[in-house]
Amino acid sequence: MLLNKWAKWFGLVMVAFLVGVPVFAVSQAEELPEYTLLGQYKKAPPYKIGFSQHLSGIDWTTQWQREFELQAEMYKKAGIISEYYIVSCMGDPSKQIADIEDLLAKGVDALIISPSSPTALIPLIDRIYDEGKIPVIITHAPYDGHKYSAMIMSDDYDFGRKGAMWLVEKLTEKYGKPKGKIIVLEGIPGAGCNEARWTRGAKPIFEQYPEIQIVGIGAGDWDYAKAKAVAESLVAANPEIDGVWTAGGQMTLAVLDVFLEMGRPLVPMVGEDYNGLLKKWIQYKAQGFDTIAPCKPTWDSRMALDIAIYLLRGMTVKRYQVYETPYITWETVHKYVRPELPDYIWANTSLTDEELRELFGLKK
Amino acid sequence: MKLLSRLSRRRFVGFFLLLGLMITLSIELPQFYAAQNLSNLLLRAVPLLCVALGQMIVILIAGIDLSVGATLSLATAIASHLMVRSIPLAILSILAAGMFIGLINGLGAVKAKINPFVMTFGTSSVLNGVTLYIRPSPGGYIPRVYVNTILAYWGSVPVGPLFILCLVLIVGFWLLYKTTYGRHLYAVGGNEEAARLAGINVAVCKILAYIVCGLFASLAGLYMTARIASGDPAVGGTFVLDSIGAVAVGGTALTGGRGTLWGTLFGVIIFSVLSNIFNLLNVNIYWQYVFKGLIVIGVVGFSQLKERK
Repeated sequence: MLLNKWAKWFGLVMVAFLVGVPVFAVSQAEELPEYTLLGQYKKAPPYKIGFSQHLSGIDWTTQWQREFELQAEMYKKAGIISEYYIVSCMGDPSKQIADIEDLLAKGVDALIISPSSPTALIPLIDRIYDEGKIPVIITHAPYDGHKYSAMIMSDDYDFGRKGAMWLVEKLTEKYGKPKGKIIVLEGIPGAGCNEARWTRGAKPIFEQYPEIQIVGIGAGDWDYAKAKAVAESLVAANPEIDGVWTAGGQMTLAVLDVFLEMGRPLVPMVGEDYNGLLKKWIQYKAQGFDTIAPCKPTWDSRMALDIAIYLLRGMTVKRYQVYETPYITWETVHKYVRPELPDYIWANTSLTDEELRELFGLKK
Repeated sequence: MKLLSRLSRRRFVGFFLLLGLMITLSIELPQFYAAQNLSNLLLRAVPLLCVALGQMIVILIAGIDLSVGATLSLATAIASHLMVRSIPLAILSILAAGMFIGLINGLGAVKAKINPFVMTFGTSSVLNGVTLYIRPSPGGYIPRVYVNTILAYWGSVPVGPLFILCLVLIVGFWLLYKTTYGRHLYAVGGNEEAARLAGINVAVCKILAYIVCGLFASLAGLYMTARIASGDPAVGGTFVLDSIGAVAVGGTALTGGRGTLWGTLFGVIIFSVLSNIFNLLNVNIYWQYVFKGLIVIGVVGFSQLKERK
């Protein structure tokens, strides 16, 4: 009897919820301006800045975050910033939503966000944008929403495309037409950056050429050790490989090391500005090794902070600032490589050797 | 004396910890009590409560479910494909998928006698693969009406999440304390042999616990679908350890047979409040992990120490 009574109440509540679902109008896609308005977010300094970043604890984000801190310290000394808060969600979109809400509760004057997912933050960022109280600047990673004050980052699709086109060119040089067998190492399947570089960037380029065969594909998780284990299997399973495409420089270095260990003839491999790869490029160039190094510069966190300050000072900025991926070629590699520093340094950085040594706890 | 002795029982440890935190916060962090912050806490507590309640039911029968995070991610992935066609169909499919996953876990752990840790870990891996297959990257479309309904606000009060929280608590209360099945759960977890001799179908009771756990995890997935307005293969990642931690801090014995709904609720609130105050206090993410781990060890260790006495 008691169970029946409870079941009835439960049923009633459910019916009330379903019937009482309020019907909201589906919002129409709005035309958003190309530039922010003059004085739109103007406030008197000093400002409190919140930075919600997607991942800590890997060498690239360590450098990138340091660049942000140095820039913020500079503004702090000048009396423009009073406080800055950095929170990291360690790749978890639900934690990032909570992190951003906490930064809002702290009363920040501007938010800088590197999204851990291109879609998960859209409802929250849309709401902040619609309230119009503080500027929201998106940086570093692909974001599918449209409501933001500014977006500043290098183009990951372009990153994938440029490397793939370079490899197609190398294969054409070898066979007289786009043809050959290649292996591919993705980053983390499902990660926004991987989707941009591989699924939406490089893969469609290779698909245009039916005579280019992808004979092996694996996920190296942007980790040298994992990539090496995967590359060992792929290289061993394929006696004939004409080229390599990877979603990151540490993975290219892993494949190159496998080729060297197995005594295989070196082939063109798409890389990145990973210091270890640049060093080996110089070392093995004479033996026929060639690469190209698209870069995701670690200094784009400084630019994101600069834009936040411009907006708070009332200036107008272009909302969409996704810049073309810079890349290092054989002609420029000597300008970027840091021969005295370890492999894990990312070369397209504005940090000095001294700052890098201090950051990574290296003795001179 | 009697009251003191009752209050010092393990299930109240979580309550005291929460009380201590609140008092400290009221002195140190006035923004903690701001309406916006309290609303934030509610928004993030809802999915963890759903998952933790399911986890608690499995732990009550001395099991464990490591696939709750993967179930949650899968739910958002299914929603991102189906909701555009029909919201009720998507909801029913997701809840059915959660129950089916629970059934597989239950059959593996109970009938095939595979260790629940290994069984649910294996299921989790399978589900991660399936989720990536159907949703290789975050995205898809979630109708605005669904998002606005689940996350409905009345002024600054998030009435949608509040309603779901109350609903989950009512269902949990009803299931644990007002049904024969609830009593069976405690009996089976407390002493399986005695429960069998008392005529309880132990196998069915255990399998049902995994099904309920899968159902709650998929419910959390439905809520997260609204929160992120998309499908995301990575969104369930942290829910496994957080749910086990919240249940343990809430005083549920990991050996089964003992635990309360209110204890789990306190555990969930503590976990939600902890991340919140760490961010408000600007504590580095690395230290957040350290403190969170130490609090779980401290609270559970203290409870067990009291128990041995």
